[in-house]
Formats: sequence, C-alpha cells, structure tokens
Amino acid sequence: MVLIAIFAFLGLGFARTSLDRSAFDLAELNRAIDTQLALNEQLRLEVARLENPARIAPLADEMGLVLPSDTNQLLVNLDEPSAVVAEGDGSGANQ
Amino acid sequence: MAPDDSKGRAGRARMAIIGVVVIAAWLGMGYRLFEIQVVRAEELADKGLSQRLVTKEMAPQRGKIYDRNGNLLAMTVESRSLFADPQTLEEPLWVAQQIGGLLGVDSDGLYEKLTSDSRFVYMKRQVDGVLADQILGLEIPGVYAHPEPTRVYPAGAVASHVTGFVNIDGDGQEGLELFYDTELRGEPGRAVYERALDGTPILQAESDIVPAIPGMDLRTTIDLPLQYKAQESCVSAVERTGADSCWAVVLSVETGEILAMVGAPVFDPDTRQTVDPRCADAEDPVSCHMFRNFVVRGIYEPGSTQKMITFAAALEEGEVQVGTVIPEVDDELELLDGACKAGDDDLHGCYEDFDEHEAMDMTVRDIFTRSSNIGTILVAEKLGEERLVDYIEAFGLGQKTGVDYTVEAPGILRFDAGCQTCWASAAIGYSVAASPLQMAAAYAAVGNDGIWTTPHIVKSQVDAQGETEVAGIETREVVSPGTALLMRELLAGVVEDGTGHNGAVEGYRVGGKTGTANKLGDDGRYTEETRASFVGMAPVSDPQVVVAVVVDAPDHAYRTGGLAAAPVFSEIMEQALHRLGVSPDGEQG
Repeated sequence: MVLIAIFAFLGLGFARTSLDRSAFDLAELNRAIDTQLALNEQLRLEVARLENPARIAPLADEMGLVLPSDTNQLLVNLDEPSAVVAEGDGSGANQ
Repeated sequence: MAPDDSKGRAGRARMAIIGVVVIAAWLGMGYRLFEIQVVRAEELADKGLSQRLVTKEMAPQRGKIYDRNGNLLAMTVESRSLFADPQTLEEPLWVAQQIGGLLGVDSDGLYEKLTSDSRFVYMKRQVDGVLADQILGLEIPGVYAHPEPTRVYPAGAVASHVTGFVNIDGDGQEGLELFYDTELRGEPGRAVYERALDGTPILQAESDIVPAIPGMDLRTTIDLPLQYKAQESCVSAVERTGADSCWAVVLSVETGEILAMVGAPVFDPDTRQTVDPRCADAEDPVSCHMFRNFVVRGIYEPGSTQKMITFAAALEEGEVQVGTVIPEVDDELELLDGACKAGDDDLHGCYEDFDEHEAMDMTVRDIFTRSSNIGTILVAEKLGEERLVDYIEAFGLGQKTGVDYTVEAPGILRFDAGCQTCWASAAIGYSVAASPLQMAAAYAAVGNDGIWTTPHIVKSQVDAQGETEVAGIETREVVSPGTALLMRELLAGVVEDGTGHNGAVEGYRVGGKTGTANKLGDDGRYTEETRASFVGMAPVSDPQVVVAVVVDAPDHAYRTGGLAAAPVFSEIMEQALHRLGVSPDGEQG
C-alpha cells in the first residue's frame, strides 16, 4: 500500500510537471505560429506591391513592351477547318 | 550530588525545553496552516487568483480589400510602435537627434517629449519592423517597442480614391474604409486566463476565451489594371490641359459595377501625401478637398451631356422623332423680354449656341449631333417643365444613386421659386447639378435598353461562413428599349459626325456626348472657366461599358468637352474594352 501510495504520488508529480512543460511548449508554438502568420502577411504584401501595375507598367515601358496597336480578329472558316484567316496589320496581339 | 546526576537532569531539562519549543513550533505551524487552509482559505485563494488572472482584449484583424481579380488593395500587417520612458532615458538629446533622424520625425519635437515628466511617450507609431529592430538593437536604456497593427495599401495611389484610408488607430476615415468600417473592423475577443510568473498561460487552470471575430474581406468590382490606366490618362490630361483636376468613372452597363473610379491629382493612402499644392498647407489632411472623391461627392452643371436626357424624354413621349424638323433654329434665343439686349447670361433667359450660325431648319438628329442649345430648348418646350423634370428624376439626377461610398452627393434638381426659364436651362444642363457617377448611371440606362441600375463598388463580402453577394442593387425602367436604341444611335452620331469625334475608339462604334459648362463664380455669375466633360458608351451595337470624364478648369485652349475630356474618354474606353475582351463592332476611329 505504501509503495502504491509513493508511486501514485511520484506519478502525479510527473504528470503535473509534464503538463507544465506542455503549457510552455504550447505557448512557444503559438508564438511561432504568430510569427509565421505575420511573415506570411508581410510576404503577401510584398507580392501585392510587386504586382502593382504602377510598378510594372514603367518597367514594361523601359523594356520596349507596348500595348497592341491594333485589334486583330481570327476568322475561322467552318467549312474548311484547317483554314484560319487573320485580319489586321499584324502589329498587335490577337484579341 | 553526583556530577552524572546533575548532567542527566540538565540534559533532560534541555530535552524538555527543546520538546516544548518543537511542540510549540509545530503547534504554531499547525495553527498557521489551519488559519491559511481553513480560516482564511477563501480570502487567500481569491487573492492568489487575482494575481494570476489576466483579462486580455484581443483585437480583431481588419478585413482586406481586393479588386475583382483578387489583387490586394488594402491589408493590415504587424508593425512596431517605438516608445520611451523619459525618466530612464540617459541621453535624450542624442536620442532625439540620432533616432529621430532614423525615424524621420522632427528632432526638436521629439526632444521636448523625451525631456517631459511623463513615464511614457511615443517616439513614432507603426514603424517598419526592420527599422524598429535596428533601433532596438542599439539597446538604448529607456527605449522600447510594442507590436501594433498598421494598415497598408499595396496598390498605393492607384486605388486611393476607391479604398480611402484609416487613421493611425485603424478607424476608417474615407472611401470604402469608412463606408464599410463596421464590416471591416470585426469584433474584439476577450481572454480571461491564469498565467505563471513569466506570463505563460497555466494550461490546467480554468480559462474563458471568446475569440476575436476578424473583419470581413471586401471583394470590389474594381479592375486594378484598368484603374491604373484610367488614372494615368487622367493624370496626363491634367498635365496636357493645365486643368485643376480630372475625374473619371468606368461603369459596367448591365450590372452597374464600377470597374474604375479615379481622380487626379492623386494621393498616397499610406502617407496621405498628395502632389496637389492646394493641399500642402492643409492642417487636417482629411479636410483637404483632394481627398474627397469628386466622382461621387462632387456636383457640377453637366452642360450638354444632360441633353441626352432631354432627347430621350422627348422621344419616349412621342413629342419628336429622330427625323422631325425643328424650323428656324437660330443661334440665340430670348425667353425673357430684353434679356439678350441686357447682355445677361443663361440664368436670366438669354440662350446662345456655342457656334454662331444663321437661323436654319434642323432635324432632331442634327440638333443633337451639333449640340445646339437653342434646338434642344425648342425640343424641351414641347415636353414642358413637368415632364422634363420627371425624366431627369427618373434618370437618377437630384437624388443619391445609392452607391456604397461615403457621403454621396444627391445633386441639385430644385428650381428657384418663380424661375420662368429654369426648365430651359435644365434642358441644356444648367440650373441642375449632378455628380459624374449620376451621369454615368444615366447613360448606362440607355446602354442597358432603358434599365437604370444602382452603381456599386463592392461585389461581395467574405467571412468565415463564406462569400456573400451584396444586396440592394435596384433596377428600374426609365425609357423603353426602342427609345434607348434610338438614343444610342444619336450618341454614335455625335462621335461619328459631331462634337465628340475625339472620343472615338479604333475598331468600335462609340456613342457619347460632350459637355462644356461654365463654372459659377463666387458672385453667382458664370465665369470663363469651364468644366469639360464627356460621357459615352461602347460598343454601340451592344454596350458593355460607360465612361464618364470630367476635366475641371482646363486652359482656354482646351475649354470644351470635345478637346479636354473626349481624348481621356477614348483612352480609358479603349483599355476597358480590351480588358473586358469585347469584340469590335465597327470601323469607327
């Protein structure tokens, strides 16, 4: 009986210590999650800033990229499936 | 007496004393234990709990704002706010000069704060995390930081007139941030828990946690690339024409969705800085007019763009046909005796056409295409004041459109008592005032077979439960589909043969109307300054988009809608049609 009581006492102590340690681990994990979430948001912000047309358009301009100067249409001849006729001056992209 | 006996007695006496002391000590401890565990148990337990118990308010994450394609327009990120304890600060002058310089704050003002009697002063709130870490890395005694959320706008100035902005405490101040402040804000949570000495929550202890509910995300109808191109066109127009400002709105004809809403000069919502010199000295940036969105809040006399409503009403009521000839249309009309001789202006009964011409017979089509004021007034005369006003109201002027944006202007549709000629002025776009958005919505009704639709900016709200489409979009029939079709052809004629040829777009048939209205001076009389506008739609065969452009006070050389606003319209419309993938319907342009 005495032995059982001693083991029970020690077991309770161990369980208590484990729980306390878990609390610390959990708090640490929560902090890590918060940090990663904040980092994720910062990265999303960076992506959004990089995708801002006000940043991209001048860069595209410097690289010589221009908007299509003309609207081209592809007219598909349904009688002859292989024949595709392009209209326009060819200087712009197909719309 | 033997010495051993006396020693034995002394030893027993000591043992007895020790025994008594030990027993007394045990009794004392027992009493103390009894007092702690039984007598004061409840009181001490409460005291201990109050020391361990923490109540913490959990701030909700403010919702994000997206464009229609998922591009971020506004979001909240974590930043740091740097503060100091002046009582523990050792070198306030050095800190004010060096750290103030790094933070970009006025060093004199900072020094004053750092030498105050307070124990807490902010050095700068919402500092970038990297810079805050650099400063904290210097380990200056008395300088600390705490985390604080900050609102950022990744699209910068491009969407500033749509999103608006928040103040430093995260409260909506302008635009969508203010209109949807409650939805974006969310609800704060509350956590009551026991903590250890180092602040770690005690897991096994009881806790009461009500989590914060994050604010809703808003998915807007804005197309960011189109918004950028529209703003670029407006900025260029201000530079080209020397105007005070330029405003434009792009509206989806069928749905009433606002695809772009821009103004120039622009401002940066992150810093609330603007290039407009008129705002440079404004103490309160919000009070500066450049932060007010003229598209929704500004009202102006629409001038000839209003004629679309007059002609639609006359056609719908059967008073005229497109080919009806109005005889003897002169370039001047005197509705009040002697008004023209007195050299008075439109407000007093003397009306003139923009170009001088001989009296001639003109068809309704000619009058509209050439934007004849006199011809339009003669057409309006057939309608009469009552029916004209009814149609102006039906097209949405003089009342709020219901757009989801702060402080919308209803416009003015109220004639002075006893005014005998206000109906004539209203027929040509004077004596009434409308916002650019109201005019765009009126034209969209013509594009949508006579159905007027509430313009709106937010498409849906997203929360943990999912996406909810916005409600409250109203539609009403203003004119019949037949009249709408006739009006679209008349509008196309203005671009093909009339005053609006600068509004043409290559490959598409465009319909639109120019407007040039003199601005009222402080004395209530018209000045030489104008508001030049153009409102139109494309493609005429099946309109998808309406664009309204207003250029405020351009130089005299650009004073008309055809010269100042129509080219801006053309640029924006071309981009809108390309963005929406609308097939060409003609060779105009």
